[in-house]
Amino acid sequence: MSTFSFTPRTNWQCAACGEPLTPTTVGVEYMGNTFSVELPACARCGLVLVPEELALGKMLEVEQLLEDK
Amino acid sequence: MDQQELRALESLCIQEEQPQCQAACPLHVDVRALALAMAKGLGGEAWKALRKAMPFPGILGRLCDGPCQARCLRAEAGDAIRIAALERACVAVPGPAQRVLPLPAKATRAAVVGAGLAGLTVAWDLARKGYPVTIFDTAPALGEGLYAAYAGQLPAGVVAAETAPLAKLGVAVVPNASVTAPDFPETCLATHHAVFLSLDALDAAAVAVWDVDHDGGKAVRCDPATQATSREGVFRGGAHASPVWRAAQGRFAATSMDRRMQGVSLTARREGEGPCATRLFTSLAGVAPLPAVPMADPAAGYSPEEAAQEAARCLRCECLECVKTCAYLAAYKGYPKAYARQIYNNASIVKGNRQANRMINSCMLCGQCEAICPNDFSMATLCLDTRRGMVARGIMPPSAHDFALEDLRFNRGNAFALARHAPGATHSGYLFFPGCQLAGSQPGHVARAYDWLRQAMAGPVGLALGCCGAPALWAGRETLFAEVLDEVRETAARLGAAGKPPTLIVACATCASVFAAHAPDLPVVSVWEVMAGHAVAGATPPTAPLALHDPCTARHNAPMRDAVRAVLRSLDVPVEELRLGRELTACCGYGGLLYNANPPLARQAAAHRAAQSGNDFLAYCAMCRDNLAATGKHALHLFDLIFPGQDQLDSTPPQGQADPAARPAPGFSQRHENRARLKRHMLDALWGEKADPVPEHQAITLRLAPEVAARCEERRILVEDMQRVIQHAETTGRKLHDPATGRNLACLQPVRVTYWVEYEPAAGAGGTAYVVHNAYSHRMTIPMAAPVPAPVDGAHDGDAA
Repeated sequence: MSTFSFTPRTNWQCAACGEPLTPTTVGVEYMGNTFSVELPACARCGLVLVPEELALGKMLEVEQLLEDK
Repeated sequence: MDQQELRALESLCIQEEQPQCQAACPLHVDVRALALAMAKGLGGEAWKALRKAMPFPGILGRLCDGPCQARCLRAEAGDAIRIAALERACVAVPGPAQRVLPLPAKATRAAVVGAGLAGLTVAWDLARKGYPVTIFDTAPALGEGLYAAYAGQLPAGVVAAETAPLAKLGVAVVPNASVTAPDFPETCLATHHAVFLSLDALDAAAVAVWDVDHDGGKAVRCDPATQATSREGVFRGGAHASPVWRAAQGRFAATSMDRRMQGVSLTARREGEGPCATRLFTSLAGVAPLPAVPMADPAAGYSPEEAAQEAARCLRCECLECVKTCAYLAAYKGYPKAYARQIYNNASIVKGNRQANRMINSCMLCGQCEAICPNDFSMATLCLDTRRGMVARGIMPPSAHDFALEDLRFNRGNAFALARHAPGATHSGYLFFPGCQLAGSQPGHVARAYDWLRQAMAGPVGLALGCCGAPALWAGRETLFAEVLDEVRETAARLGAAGKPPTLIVACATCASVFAAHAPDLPVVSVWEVMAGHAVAGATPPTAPLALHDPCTARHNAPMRDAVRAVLRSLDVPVEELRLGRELTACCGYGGLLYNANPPLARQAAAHRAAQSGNDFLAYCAMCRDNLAATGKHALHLFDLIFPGQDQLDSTPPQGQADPAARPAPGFSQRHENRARLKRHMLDALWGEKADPVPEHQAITLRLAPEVAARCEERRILVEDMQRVIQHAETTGRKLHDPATGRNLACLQPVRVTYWVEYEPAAGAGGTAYVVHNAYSHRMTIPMAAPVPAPVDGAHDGDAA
């Protein structure tokens, strides 16, 4: 499936591990479709950040496209 | 919906039917397009409009007697359009160059005897189809006979100019033809497969040689449907006083000759030929009568300016009655017939994007179009059936209705749902079912209405808080809807006496319409009908009239609508009846879950309705009242007039309650809070019971700046959702942190939507309150992170996240 990358510079850190976030390939899913996305995540525990611009931007676009398929 | 059902549905919408003028014209000239072009001064476009259906407009346009004028609807608002004069004005100016493209010659040949309007039309029609045509003209040059036949009406040179394209199409002309020679018919038929006699250009002698049945002279008998004479292969036309009919008869004959030469039926499927009826309806409401534009020089006809003014009087007949009144139908720039096809195509897509999903989910299912349409076209039936099909096939976009269905789930849940006999009673003769929206908007009114009913009714009145299932119905979720209805039935059965369900007293027109249509076994009456039969005291009535807004679900509920009016009369409230009221009422934008599937269009629909009166509005549905108020209009609920004073249970900030008409629409979280408050209050005050304790996450207090609260409202993020996220983040430690700002960012996916909340502990609140700075959501699922890493001593293995 398609991939996209959204790893802006961010000040958010993983609170549990105390680590900064690094670009990580993550699988996301909607309506039976899976995508590989590069997102900031904690290298230790895997906690992922979905930034607001992504959630309301490209993600929303793709969600709506998938709903109309 | 299959192709046949689609056709049946499409045929109900008459928007594409011909206007009266076009239907009346023997050639079906698009007079509307002609008038439109001439009103704009576009002479070239006007010529094109004529050329589409009229042969040789430069000739026929000057001769046309305009039988269309007798049916022009403008006559009902002044004078009929002077269509014949417009034709003359158009062709008085030379037209743009006309390109004709010859087709490869067909094997069969046609002969035209006599170059009258009829014969020339036959030649034109058949030549354009590729048939070699020979015109036997008695005149020395093609069509010269027309100048005498129409003395003084045709300027010199126009016949040659207009008939020039015939030569380009390879039409052969025999001038000075000996059409009266006794052997002419045999020679003609020997070399031509079909022959046309242009009676408008032949004398009796020329006709006599053909030995066809006739009634004396040139009155050749023919089959009126085909223009066929008694002789095989011979057709006739032009025996009519009207020039346009002469040309039309030629056209009909050409069709027959074409079919004959192809060897197919002469008679099949010719219903639309010639003048016919039309089903197009055009409203003349609001059309000011105007007389025909006078001609400064009647001999010269209309000048270009006069013609433009006259053409501007054209009504441009269309239907669009439903589109004129519905914000939804207007928004998609079409009309029901076109929408039916779009929806059919949408459903038929196997692979590819369904572009019409939002359109299907944007219908308010209110029935106004059906009430207005002369043929009862119902977008509601079409769209609801389609939604059901989409759900059944698993292709309904979840985001269209998810939020509303989660709201339904809340209303069926423990925080709101309640069913009790009246305090001290062991059965219920009546059951007050106020509905979910009134409880969410004005819980105090529910409490006071219940008090009023217990005093007014003879038998004991129970109370049932819940939802009738309308959101599930509108979303096309048939299984869920049936479940909710069963719950209502089960509640009624449980609270009734000896197998007799109590009579439900509803305060919502939607609940009433749902029960009437889908649970007719339940006896239902509206609280307004009960109140109309009793003396109702109320607030001091307003002095200015209130525009009475009937909710769309009261469209077919005359008893409820009439009861509301009776109550208003007894309260001395001055009322303005809206033109689009009662059976024609408009939806406020909530119906069909439009407010969920397409919020901008819902706001537009509400604004559209609010603009229909300059007065303040009065509604008797909580959602209508709130939607109208959200447009900035002052709007009252009928209960505001019957139960004046502050709503003690409403969680609206006090300043919003000063003037009930100015009370803003409650937010989504507020509605949940109000419903929960109502249940807690009723349980405590009437039955002395404590409600179940709130879930742990709801004990967290959230503080939101107004713009943050507004953003969450816009994004449909409830306070409960944010409480859940924060509680989860704080107990598990799964959160992001920014040391520079001290804020946290965490997420949670309780059901389908993932919510993100940016927050920090409120100073001095001891960990029970948080300040929320931002919240957003998405539907894509991200993987759950691994469990929080074990402490260094490794004693806790496999903690769940």
